Amino acid sequence: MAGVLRVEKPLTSRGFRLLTLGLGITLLLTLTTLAYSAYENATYLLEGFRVGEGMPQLNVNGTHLTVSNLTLSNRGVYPLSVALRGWVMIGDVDLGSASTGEIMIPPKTQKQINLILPINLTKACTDYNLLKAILFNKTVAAFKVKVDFGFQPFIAASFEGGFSSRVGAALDGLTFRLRSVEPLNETHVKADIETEFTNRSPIPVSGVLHASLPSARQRNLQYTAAPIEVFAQPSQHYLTHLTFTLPKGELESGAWYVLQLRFETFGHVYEWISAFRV
Amino acid sequence: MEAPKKQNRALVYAGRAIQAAIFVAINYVIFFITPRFFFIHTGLLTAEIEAAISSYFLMIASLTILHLLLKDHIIGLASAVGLAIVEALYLYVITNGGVLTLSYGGYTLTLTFKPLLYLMMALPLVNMVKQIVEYIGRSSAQHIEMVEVEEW
Repeated sequence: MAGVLRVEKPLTSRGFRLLTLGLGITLLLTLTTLAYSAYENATYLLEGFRVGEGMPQLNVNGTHLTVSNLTLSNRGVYPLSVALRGWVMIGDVDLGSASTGEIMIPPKTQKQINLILPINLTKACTDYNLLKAILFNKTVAAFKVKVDFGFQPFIAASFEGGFSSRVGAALDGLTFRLRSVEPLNETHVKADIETEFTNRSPIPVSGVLHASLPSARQRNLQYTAAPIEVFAQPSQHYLTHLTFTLPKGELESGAWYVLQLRFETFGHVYEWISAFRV
Repeated sequence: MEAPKKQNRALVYAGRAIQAAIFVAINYVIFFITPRFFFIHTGLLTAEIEAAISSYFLMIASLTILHLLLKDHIIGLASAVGLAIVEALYLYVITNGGVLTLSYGGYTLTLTFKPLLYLMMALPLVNMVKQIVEYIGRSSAQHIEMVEVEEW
């Protein structure tokens, strides 16, 4: 007959068993309540999107981007923290950013969130290459939004997204057209070149346009038109005239001529050439 | 007297083997199927993550078997300690330290759940301390074998 003497488990061992059990239950309860809170809030948010309730209104004007009337409700069991941040960029230039800061929504309550984002378009004008792109080409403005939310203190999530908006060229459809050639006196004529463009950018175009016409007959000779002060508000169609005084016979019918152009704006100088037909 | 003793030992080991099989199956669900399912459906499954899941699961399975089969041996204790460390490390590695980033199109969702991760890691680590304390406590308990007495 053989046997083993049974000894009662020590207190520390029992303590550890209780601790493990407690941790397990805590983890399980936390996961369950978090899942419940996430489910409740997600369902409410999706339902709101479906019926259009609590949806934010987005307004963009020349100076501000406003996200308003975003209504968030916390149907979970943990306090919901929300922080909304937004910024606008053209190319690599940050035109403006704003944040709501951390907003705490206690369980079973709701809050309305507004975000006003100032857009500083003059920042885009300080960059030579960016301004060049805005003046002559279509660019893309990126609106980025970051939403930080979480159930304090267990889980935090950060959602980042945004949308892009095409920005038209400031000197969109810039064309030069010979309108008329009128005799000025016995030796000279007055050539009137019509210049037009539409400002499709959000930036007002303001600058001085210089134009010169190289002589087709004589090398190193250029005729210069009086500089024109250009000012065009966003969406404005701009029309002006460049007036050249030329010797008779300088312009031949059916020939192409090259205009040398220089545009001084926001402290930068842009030079290019453009052709017109007589 | 030797034959029933051997039979008894075989029965004990058979019981432990069944227990090990059950625990390996549970661990297979917790440490292999669930993370793979999560990573596949979130599009985060890479070759590295898949290799990490497989290798960690192999380690967890072998340490579970060793720990359960050699319960009263020092190797069993070492396996239990190793198992707890590997489990905690696995949770930390697979969740990227409690920070997971999901990207879809131009949108990014970053989840940070460090307190939850530490709570999950605490379970095997507390269990490890419990095993060590129990082993030390067990060594003070005497294994007494009674002598067979013949009655006249």
